Amino acid sequence: MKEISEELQWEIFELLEGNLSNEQSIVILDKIKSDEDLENYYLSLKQTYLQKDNAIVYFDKQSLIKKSVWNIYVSPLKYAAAAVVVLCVSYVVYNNQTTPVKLQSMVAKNETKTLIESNEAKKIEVATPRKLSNFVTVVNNNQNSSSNIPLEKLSLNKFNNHKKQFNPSTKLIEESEFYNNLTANTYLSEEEKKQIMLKWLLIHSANYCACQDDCIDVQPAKNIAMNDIEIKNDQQLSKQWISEVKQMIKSGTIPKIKLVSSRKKEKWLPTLGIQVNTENASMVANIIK
Amino acid sequence: MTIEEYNQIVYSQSDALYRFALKNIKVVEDAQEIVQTSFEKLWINKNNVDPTKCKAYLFRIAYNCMIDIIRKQKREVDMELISNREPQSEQADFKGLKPILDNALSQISEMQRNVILLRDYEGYSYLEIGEIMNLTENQVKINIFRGRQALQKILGKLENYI
Repeated sequence: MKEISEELQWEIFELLEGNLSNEQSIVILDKIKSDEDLENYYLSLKQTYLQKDNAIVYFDKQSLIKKSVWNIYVSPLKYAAAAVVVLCVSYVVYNNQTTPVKLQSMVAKNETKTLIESNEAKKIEVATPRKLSNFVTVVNNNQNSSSNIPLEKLSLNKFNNHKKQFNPSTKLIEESEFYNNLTANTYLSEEEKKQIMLKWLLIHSANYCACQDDCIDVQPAKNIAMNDIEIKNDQQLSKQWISEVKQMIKSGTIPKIKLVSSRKKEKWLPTLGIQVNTENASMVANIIK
Repeated sequence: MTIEEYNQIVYSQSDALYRFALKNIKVVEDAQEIVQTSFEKLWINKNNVDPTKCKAYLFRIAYNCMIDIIRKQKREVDMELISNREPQSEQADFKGLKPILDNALSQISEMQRNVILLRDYEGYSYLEIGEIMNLTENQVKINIFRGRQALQKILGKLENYI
């Protein structure tokens, strides 16, 4: 094989590199075709050109990818916000569901609750219901003397002393042990607690009334919902009364509540009840037969 | 350079960069490290790099990384020879990519190998290769020419041997 000049080697290299014009290429290709040694050189040099190996791929591209700050920080925030919303909703639902149950369970436990007004030493005791789902209330002027004495044992004269009007004040509700026990485990505002307390009182008054034959102003009614002052039968008066009380509570007004007594001819002891007055209706829940 | 532009470059250039590194280094882990280092540096300097020239920037970083690794490997091999240990195969990790040309490539100089790889694999012009490797156009052209001649000789020898 003869020695190929450096100049020819360059020309062949330039040809393979694609650096020559068409005319130049034709000239050098003619030379190559006419000379076997040149052709061999051309072919062997052509072999040195690499083919791109597309099988070689960088697989871990994801590790190189950058996520935007928005994606990094907002996604967790989005989840956090969702979690907060879920928690809030759960809290509200839990409260709505558990509060009446708690109130109901307190009645069911037959616990004795005492409500004290410090100035006048008046006491309402909600005692164990012996029949049905009603409750017994004893009102005393003197806290120390006869606070737990059943009403049946009280004399009429003594009873007459308790006929005073009873208007539960905000202060009374706030300070009462009854009130605290009633709502101790609920996360409610003071206003909500007052309303629940009042609602509880009214519901049970109405409930009691509905269960008693000698209820004064309201016809017997059944199935009073605990969590929503509502009566489910057709007792219109009760409905009207319940509706008005509910409206008053919603508007932030506390209905006037009085302790009242009435006496039927054939009975020696008067009937004691809680009278709740609204603008257009009045309902008395009898406490004791 | 925005995140989107950067990510676009990752998708379009990571394979080429990896191929370039692997053909040079022939060790998968080293090639991967070179790719990661190159993109990290690109990200760090994203505000200073012209998006149109980031490909050349990436290959320049990769090239410099490769030189560091190759020098380090050479030192290690020298130390092994001094301690009379049996030298480990540098190509142990380079499985399935050992055609004759690759073997021949590994026998020519670093400079010649790199210019040929950039030219053949990535289709860079002499000017672009010069920018990556800090060479003039003529130097690139000469190195490619010399590199091909060297490959030609090696392949010729192999043919004679076969």
